[in-house]
Amino acid sequence: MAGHTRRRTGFGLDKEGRGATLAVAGIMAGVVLIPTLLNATADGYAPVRAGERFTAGAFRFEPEPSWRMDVMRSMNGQSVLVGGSATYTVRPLGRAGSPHAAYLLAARRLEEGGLARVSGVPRPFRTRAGQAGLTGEITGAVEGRLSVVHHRGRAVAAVLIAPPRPLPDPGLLRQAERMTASLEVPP
Amino acid sequence: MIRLPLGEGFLRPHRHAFWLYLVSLAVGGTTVIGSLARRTAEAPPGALLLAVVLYAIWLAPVLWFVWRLELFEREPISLAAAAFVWGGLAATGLALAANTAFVSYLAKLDSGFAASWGPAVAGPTTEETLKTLAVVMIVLINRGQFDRVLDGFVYGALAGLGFQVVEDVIYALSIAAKSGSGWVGGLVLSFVMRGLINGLWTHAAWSAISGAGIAYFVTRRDRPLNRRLLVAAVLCGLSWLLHFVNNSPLFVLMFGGGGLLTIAQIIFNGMVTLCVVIVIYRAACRIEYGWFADVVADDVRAGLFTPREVADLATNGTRRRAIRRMRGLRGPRLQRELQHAQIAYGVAKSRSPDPATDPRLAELRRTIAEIRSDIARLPTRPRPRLRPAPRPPFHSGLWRPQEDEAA
Repeated sequence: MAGHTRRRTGFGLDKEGRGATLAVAGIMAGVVLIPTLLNATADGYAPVRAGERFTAGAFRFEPEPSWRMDVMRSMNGQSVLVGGSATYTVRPLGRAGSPHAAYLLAARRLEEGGLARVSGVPRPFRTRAGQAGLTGEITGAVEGRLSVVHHRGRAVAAVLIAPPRPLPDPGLLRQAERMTASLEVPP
Repeated sequence: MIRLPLGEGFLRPHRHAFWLYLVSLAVGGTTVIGSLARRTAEAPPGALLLAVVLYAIWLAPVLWFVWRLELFEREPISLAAAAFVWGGLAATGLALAANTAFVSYLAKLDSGFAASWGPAVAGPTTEETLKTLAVVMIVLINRGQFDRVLDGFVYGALAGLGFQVVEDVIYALSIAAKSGSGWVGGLVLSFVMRGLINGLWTHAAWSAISGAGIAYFVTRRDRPLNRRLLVAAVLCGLSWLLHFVNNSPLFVLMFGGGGLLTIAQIIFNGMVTLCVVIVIYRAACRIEYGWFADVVADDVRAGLFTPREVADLATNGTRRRAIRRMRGLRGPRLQRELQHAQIAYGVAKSRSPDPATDPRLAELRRTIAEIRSDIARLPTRPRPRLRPAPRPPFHSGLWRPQEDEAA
């Protein structure tokens, strides 16, 4: 503007608008950080209600009432349940041509973390709704069981993980098996 | 003096806001690209391409429509693109992170409440704030290009469109991943629901409302500060409320569930939002037209504009009607050229430090006079009106029916 001299900071930036820009940065930080901090400081586990159904992609399953949901880790389309020292995760795998392809995909993703190794030949099984699945052992720094269920091109992985010592409660393991058996794609 | 294009649009590295914009874009864009990559990997091959093609086809006429909402002075393309990209990358990316944490926090307090009301509480709070900041950023980057309420309306709508398109593509990929072998149908259905049926009166409309509020606060310096604050707060609150109602399960609680009810809810919410947006747009146009009429008031007295011509420039509709009044092949074209020249004159005059000696204005005066003499030489007279011309929608105080009838 004619006759108007801009006041500049040492970096050659206009002083005008600096406060407002800082305020905008503060609002943006607040919008993201306030819920993030509130979420981080709140108790991260929600109890499972009787009769509740959880979904993971196109699949759903019945959680066992003695397990608790890890709310934060259950936000990205997966369901993470914690019972004692065991963690049970149901994660959609997207498209897969067969149960075997789905199992290989799930095993590769699990092994990418470096803590677990999927070993042995997987055994076939069927869920209560009759959908085909494969299940195998997880070994390494943690132990557990990897199961996949495949239905019409879609697949889901159910991963049970527990530290090897002390041995997890056998009751919890049976409950995890029941959760896997309840996996289905609703009609 | 040669004027560098730097001052005209977005590229203003001497502004703090310019650098904040770039940082926000990098942070938000990283989140959006990560989310898109994850969902693309989960979805069938071709889902991303189909979603992008569908929304690109949808977006082209919508962008044209929003661009045409400006009556007198189109916004610089670089600033318009900056608002759109902010909505698509910065606002969407930051909202993804904020919404996840917000809904997770609500779920820890009460998972049932979070499942039903979480999107209604978290969505408007984070998304409307972040989209509205697009308009604030444009003001801070280039205040010189931000003159009236309609500017905020258009920038807000563009930011909302950017947000909506990216969000819809992410949703479409999620639907495709869940739909198995029928993924094409699922994706197309998602496009029909979120793009065609629910597209124009959601994010773009809500952001246009809050953008108009910010623009009122920034540009109406002739009004008391309390009033400007009140108008801005009411309009931002209104956009939050419309978004809240759209995301809430209120319809389901009142009338029960069902597919038809979902469509009824979409249509009801859309109609309410559309009515609010039309009222605000007309108010913004009234301000815009009042500004233009004030700028050219001297020229009406000097005979460069007739009162009727000023009234004809009030809206896109009155302009079209004035063009249709002309007969023959050349008449409508000349009338259109006259309107363009008169609008260019008014805008140039408003920006000129010395209108009396400005060579650009002198050139436009000559152009207007030449076009008017061409119109006067047309072999056919303007089509006689069988009924009185409608009153222009916004009364400027310049146009009186008896003057026109006498002419």
